[in-house]
Amino acid sequence: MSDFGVILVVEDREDDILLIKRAFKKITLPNPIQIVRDGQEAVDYLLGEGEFSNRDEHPLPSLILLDLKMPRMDGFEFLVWIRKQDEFRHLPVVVLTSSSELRDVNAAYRLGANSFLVKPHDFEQFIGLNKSLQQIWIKHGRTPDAMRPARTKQAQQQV
Amino acid sequence: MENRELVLLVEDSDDDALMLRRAFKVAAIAIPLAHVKSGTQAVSYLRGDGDYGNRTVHPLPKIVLLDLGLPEMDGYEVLTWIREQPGLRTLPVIVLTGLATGDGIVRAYQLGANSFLMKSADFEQLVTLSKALAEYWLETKATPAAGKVEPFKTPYPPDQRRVA
Repeated sequence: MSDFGVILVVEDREDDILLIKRAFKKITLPNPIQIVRDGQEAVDYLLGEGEFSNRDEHPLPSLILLDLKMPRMDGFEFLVWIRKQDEFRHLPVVVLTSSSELRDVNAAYRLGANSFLVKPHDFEQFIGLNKSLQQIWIKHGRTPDAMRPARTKQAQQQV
Repeated sequence: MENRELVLLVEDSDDDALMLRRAFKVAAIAIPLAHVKSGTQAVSYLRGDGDYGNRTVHPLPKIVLLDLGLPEMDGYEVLTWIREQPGLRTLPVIVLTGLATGDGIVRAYQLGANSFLMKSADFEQLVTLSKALAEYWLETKATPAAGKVEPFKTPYPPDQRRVA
């Protein structure tokens, strides 16, 4: 397994997914990325349901990047859900969105977001943002080993 | 802008506090750093006890940097207390510690830490960390500090004070 935790990107817009991938590549972020398209898919991913049932292919993340405006289940609803899950409520969730409305910022923090980042329109600035994201969450930061709480469950299943 | 341009450092080691202060200076971070030496003092500061009630001199911080190993009331207890206060529920609290265990990381996040950072004994590393901290948490507009936070009213009942 990689020493670097998986980053789960929850984003419905293909343009933005591409942008995030490009930025990660540019700053040579070693962490594997997994992409899901909305809150519901993120829930399925964490629970290992359906197409996400194989934990080798879809390992639990140690950091989640979350868009807010998404179909089916939006970012706020996902935050509410994840903070109620004993297995996952400790996972750091960084909101990454184009909205900089204070109402959204406050709501996201209130619902348990760890941090709120506004996507800049300019790519160079976006690179800068990703660099500081890397510094805070990967280089100097420690994120929970997401495998730990889940391992118990998996181990039980295997036994 | 509210009068919250301050970083509150909760750190029992004077040496570590001094080193961080120097790192902030080298990193050219303009925002002032206030230092309290224990969990109970952090609570007093945030609650506005006594002299701390003067918010012109002791403004509520934009972020809190919290050590975990503190006398009397440790970092986990400070976190718990902060998250119980309606006016402080969204205050960014960043754990800054020299010792990280898997359980400690999980516990800190479960109690509502926004981020968990390792402080390095190496000064250059500390400068890099300070720069990253300032870029990520202080130079962004999207922190709840920029919004309206309810006036801080909740008293901290002394009988609930947990002494380690």
